[in-house]
Amino acid sequence: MIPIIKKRSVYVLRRTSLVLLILSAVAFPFEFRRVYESSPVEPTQQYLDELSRIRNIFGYGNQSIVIFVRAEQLALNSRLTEWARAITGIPVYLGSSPYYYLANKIETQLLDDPTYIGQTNQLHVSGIIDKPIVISELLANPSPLDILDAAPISSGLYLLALSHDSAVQRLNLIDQISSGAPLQVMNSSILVENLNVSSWSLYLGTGGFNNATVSSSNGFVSVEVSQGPYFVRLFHVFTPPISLSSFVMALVRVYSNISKQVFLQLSSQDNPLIQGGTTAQFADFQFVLKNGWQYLVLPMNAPAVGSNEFSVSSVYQIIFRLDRDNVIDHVVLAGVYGIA
Amino acid sequence: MLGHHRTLTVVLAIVFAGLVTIYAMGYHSSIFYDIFTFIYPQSQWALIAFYGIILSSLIASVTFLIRYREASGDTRTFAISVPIREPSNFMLGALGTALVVLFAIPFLQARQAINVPGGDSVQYIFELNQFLHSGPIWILLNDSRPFVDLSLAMIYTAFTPLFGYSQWSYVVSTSALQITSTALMVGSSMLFLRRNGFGPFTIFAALLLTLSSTEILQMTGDNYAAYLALSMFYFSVLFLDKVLGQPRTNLLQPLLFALSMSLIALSHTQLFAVFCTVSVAIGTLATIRSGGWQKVLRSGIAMKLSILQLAFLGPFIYLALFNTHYFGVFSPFLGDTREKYFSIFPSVINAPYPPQEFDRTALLSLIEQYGNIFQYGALIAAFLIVTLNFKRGRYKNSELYALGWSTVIILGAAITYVYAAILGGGAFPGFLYARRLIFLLPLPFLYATLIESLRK
Repeated sequence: MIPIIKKRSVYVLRRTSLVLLILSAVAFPFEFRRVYESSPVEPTQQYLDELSRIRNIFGYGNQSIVIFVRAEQLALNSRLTEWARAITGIPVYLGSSPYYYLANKIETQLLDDPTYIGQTNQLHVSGIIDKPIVISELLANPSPLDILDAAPISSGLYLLALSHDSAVQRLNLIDQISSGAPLQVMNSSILVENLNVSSWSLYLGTGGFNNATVSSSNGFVSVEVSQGPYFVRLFHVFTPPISLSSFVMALVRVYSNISKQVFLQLSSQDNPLIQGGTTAQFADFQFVLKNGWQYLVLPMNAPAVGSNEFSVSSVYQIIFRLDRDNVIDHVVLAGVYGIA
Repeated sequence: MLGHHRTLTVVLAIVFAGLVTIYAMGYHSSIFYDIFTFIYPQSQWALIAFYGIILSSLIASVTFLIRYREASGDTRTFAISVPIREPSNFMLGALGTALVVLFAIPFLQARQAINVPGGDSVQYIFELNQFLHSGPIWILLNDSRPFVDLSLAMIYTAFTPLFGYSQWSYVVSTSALQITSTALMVGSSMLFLRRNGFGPFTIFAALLLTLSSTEILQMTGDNYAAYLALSMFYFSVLFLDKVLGQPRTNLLQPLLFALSMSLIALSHTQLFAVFCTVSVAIGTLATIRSGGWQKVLRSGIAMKLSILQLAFLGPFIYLALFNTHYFGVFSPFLGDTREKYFSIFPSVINAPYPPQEFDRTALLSLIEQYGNIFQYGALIAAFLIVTLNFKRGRYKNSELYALGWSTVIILGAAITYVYAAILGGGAFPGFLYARRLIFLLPLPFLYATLIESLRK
């Protein structure tokens, strides 16, 4: 009797296992789809449309140009470089600046990125060097300097063709700007003009009364900031007003010993109620200072916020506002430059 | 007993159809996910147990194979048990179509909501566009996976008139490629299992379990090359079985085997290496079983296959070895790869090897995605039954093949696992490889043995 029961139990166990196994095989794929499905890795339709536009303008597989894709998180997360190459068939340079490609220089900070290594190596092995580079505002988020010599092709699209030597000079300037080192005098291809802003005045009007200490020495203006409720506000008046229209950007060289929010304002109102105070004709730029020497870049064609009355051809004063957010700070202003 | 089988089949078919309808209509469950999250914190120990049991089972099976032959002095091929009712081609076609359609439903459900799946698809789209603009010769000389890309391009060309130039054409083409790979694997496995005397229910259930397991491979959406190569290997095994079964056969079967293996090499080089090793292992076991090397050596099977293989792949091997501007098949592995891939980066030491680095991303997603714990259990049971059959000396060709095939895969997985756990210091993604290698096991053969045993 017992062997029969045992045999029966084994039979039932086998059948139950078989049924469960088969049912699990049916149920799992459907559940899997919902719970585990990975998301696509691709840029938004806006980027795909832009790539199609580039392909239509330059032709699929055009090997006489290179597309520049800026190496930033968005591009890396969505494999924008690979998509650019897939849709257009045009070689792609992934980097921090198109001048690295044109100057034929390695970007050492990107050596950990396999896409950078793969793409760049492919360009060199295939002999695709010294080609004009396509800069799209969407794909490259270009700085004013990136498109300084570029020829506009279409809305938001430029073609930059530059000799190797000129690219090296541009790259030197970019390196200096990146490092915060004093700007060297450039040759005729890049004009670096010192705007002689060595004296800054402390604004003491409403909202500006503060505990900051300002001192000047050898053209450097040091500001010691203590904690307080308002921004420290410094200003410089250009007498007579100056024109910045010939510059692609203005640079303010700054040292800070801590990360801190800062605002810069250009004003073309030549009769403000109080100098350094409220102005109706302005362009605002916002930055976050980091520790050490650095340049604050003011692109002349793209202020963050501005009034319609502001005119870049008649700048009356530059205003510097420094946050006093519970942190004692030491900031040095070391000159303002125009880049043309 | 036959009546019981029929009742079971009918009951299962009804429940099965009901489940498919319910899920296809959009019902969601999270049974497997809940189990998986419970098990996952202990997954390393679970994997050690999994590999430990299977490895022991494989060693025991090989021992039984050798001992049984020595004890009996038998040098003949074991007779394959004759099936009671061999399924017709029509029946296999119907069952295969049902399986492919069944697994296409969840696949297409996901594709409706998501555009081109995964991150690797973009590379396939690049190659596809290159094919359309530069032609097949460009693909053969510049693409490390030309067969899969040519297949995708053909499918895309067929679908483009329907969908025009849009993302949908990519979605439909890549989906069609995956479903075609599934159909290839189902078809060739069914033919092999029929040759080994399995009945329609066992074949259907074994393939159902297999697709449920490999679904992960195709569901991650962008493992086109790996999945096609895996499917092609089932096709190759069918020819290998014929070659080994009749050593003095004409040139057609070796030619078909070499051709299908070459297509694997043109789809996925790493898997080609794995499957070459598997073929050698299967051939070795078949030789042991059939009574010595002399017979096989005399027939010159290995040499015949090697020469044919070299004839197909020779040009690619030559280019990879001697042309530093060649970025096609074998180029990441043969020749001066550093010169090819890092020629302008002499300062980069121990740089990530491009294909492996690329693969790691896919593996990272896989580790989160394998959740059907029942199938781990089923695999363990299948290996134990195979061992039992070897002990009894009553095994089928499919089990002999499963033994050779699994030994290579499990040893590879165990080595990577141990390396990751002990020597890799966590830097080497061996745990991921170990899990992924499960998909490379001969699942239809193992599941068929299990199902047959449960039906007794």
